[in-house]
Amino acid sequence: MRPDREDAAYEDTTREELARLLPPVPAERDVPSAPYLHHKDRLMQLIDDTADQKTTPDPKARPRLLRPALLMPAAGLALAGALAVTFTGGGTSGDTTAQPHETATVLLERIAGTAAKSDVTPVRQDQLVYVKSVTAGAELKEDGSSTLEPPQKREVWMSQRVKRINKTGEMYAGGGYTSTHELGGSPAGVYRPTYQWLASLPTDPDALLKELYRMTEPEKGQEKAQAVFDQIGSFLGRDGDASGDAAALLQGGCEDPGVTRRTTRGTRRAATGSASPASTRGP
Amino acid sequence: MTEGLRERIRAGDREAFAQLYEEHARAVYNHAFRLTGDWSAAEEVMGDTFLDAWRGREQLEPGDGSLKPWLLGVATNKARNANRGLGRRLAFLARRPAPAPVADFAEESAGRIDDARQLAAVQAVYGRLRRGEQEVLALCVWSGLDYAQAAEAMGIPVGTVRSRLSRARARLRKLAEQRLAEEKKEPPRHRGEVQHEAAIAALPFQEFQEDPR
Repeated sequence: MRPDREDAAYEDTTREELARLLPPVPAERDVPSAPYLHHKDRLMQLIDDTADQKTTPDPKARPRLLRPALLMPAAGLALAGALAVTFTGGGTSGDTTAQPHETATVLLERIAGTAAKSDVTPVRQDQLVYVKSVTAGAELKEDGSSTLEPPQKREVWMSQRVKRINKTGEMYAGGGYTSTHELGGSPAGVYRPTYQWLASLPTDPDALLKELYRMTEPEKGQEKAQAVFDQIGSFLGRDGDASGDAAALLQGGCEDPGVTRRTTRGTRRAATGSASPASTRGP
Repeated sequence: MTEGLRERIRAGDREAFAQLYEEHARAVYNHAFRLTGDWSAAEEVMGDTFLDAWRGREQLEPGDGSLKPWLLGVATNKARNANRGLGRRLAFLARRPAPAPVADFAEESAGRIDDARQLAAVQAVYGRLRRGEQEVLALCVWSGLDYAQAAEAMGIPVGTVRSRLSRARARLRKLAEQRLAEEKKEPPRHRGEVQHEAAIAALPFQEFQEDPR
């Protein structure tokens, strides 16, 4: 055993020698941005929850909006199902009245409750998010009538990579497979929402809305609020236009005074689970 | 910054925890990786470390030292739990064939496999040490803590840190000599055997995890 010397020089030589005796370790990495934000949000939420328990609860406190990514995989199917129920309840023409909207709101609350209790497995970067959907649309004609078009089957596989990628996924529609590409590449973010990116968003409704306003760029001739509204719709749908779902979500959880309700007649119905991770490789 | 920070952490200040996270998430993440050998396990360990830090904030000793030893100590405990059963996964990683060429989707996996191979080489040596020695070594050599800080992190006397590192050094020297002697005797290996070799390299680590020390 070495003599008991505590000086720093001795420590340093020992450490240097140990480092030499070991093969090199892999280089240090930054925490990838999505998990970094996700774990920070978890920490902050735990702190807030602890603080909430200590102070007297405000009975009128606004319920915390569910983390969208948490809500989505578990509730995706249910949400689409709920809207399908509303849809069939609303009559064959696809015409909606006030009543189905209320039904959707009630159902959404129930779905949100279930989603909060569900333990969702996070989707990793090396996995793809798979969505199979059956959609049917109806176009509103000038005379106010509408005809329901035949349902379309659609399957998509979306990359969950954080980095900028050109090929963002695969799609099966109309009897053939096509790859989806993003010119110039697209990193995970508001325009290519991955599971992990969504999980990193704030869960407080006001904070979430503020963040969405910051991130969303309105298209030409579009108001900011409208763009944000559409954005929420695309998060819920993940795949294509699903503004009907978004309207329901906005009514259910996120009151946005700046948003004017659109009258799109469209509904979605998931044939299988929405956003169920399909592993491409690995354990 | 640090002197106020420790007190604010002890008092449960929200902003102080945000700052703590921003300053140390990376160090905790990389330390956890070196102990678990798995980036996704390291990510979990990192996240849980800060949650545990919050829960254990009142047990933090007062003072003005860096908070890094405290966090790395928590992370070391977390990594120890994560390691149960990880030996098997490491062996799997090392055995895993090169990724299929599927355009963009495959690129990142290649980097991971390189890391896994490099790590398997480290484990072949590092895995021969006792857990206590491994942990102190990871703290002092790779995460850059001094002996007193490592002692604080592990909740052990400085003398124990010193003796563990001496033992680790003695054992590593012996291993290095053995390796040199074997390299002289053994003919060069064929390329195709590399995967096999990596799988075996991970085994001592797995065996080590089951060593009840």
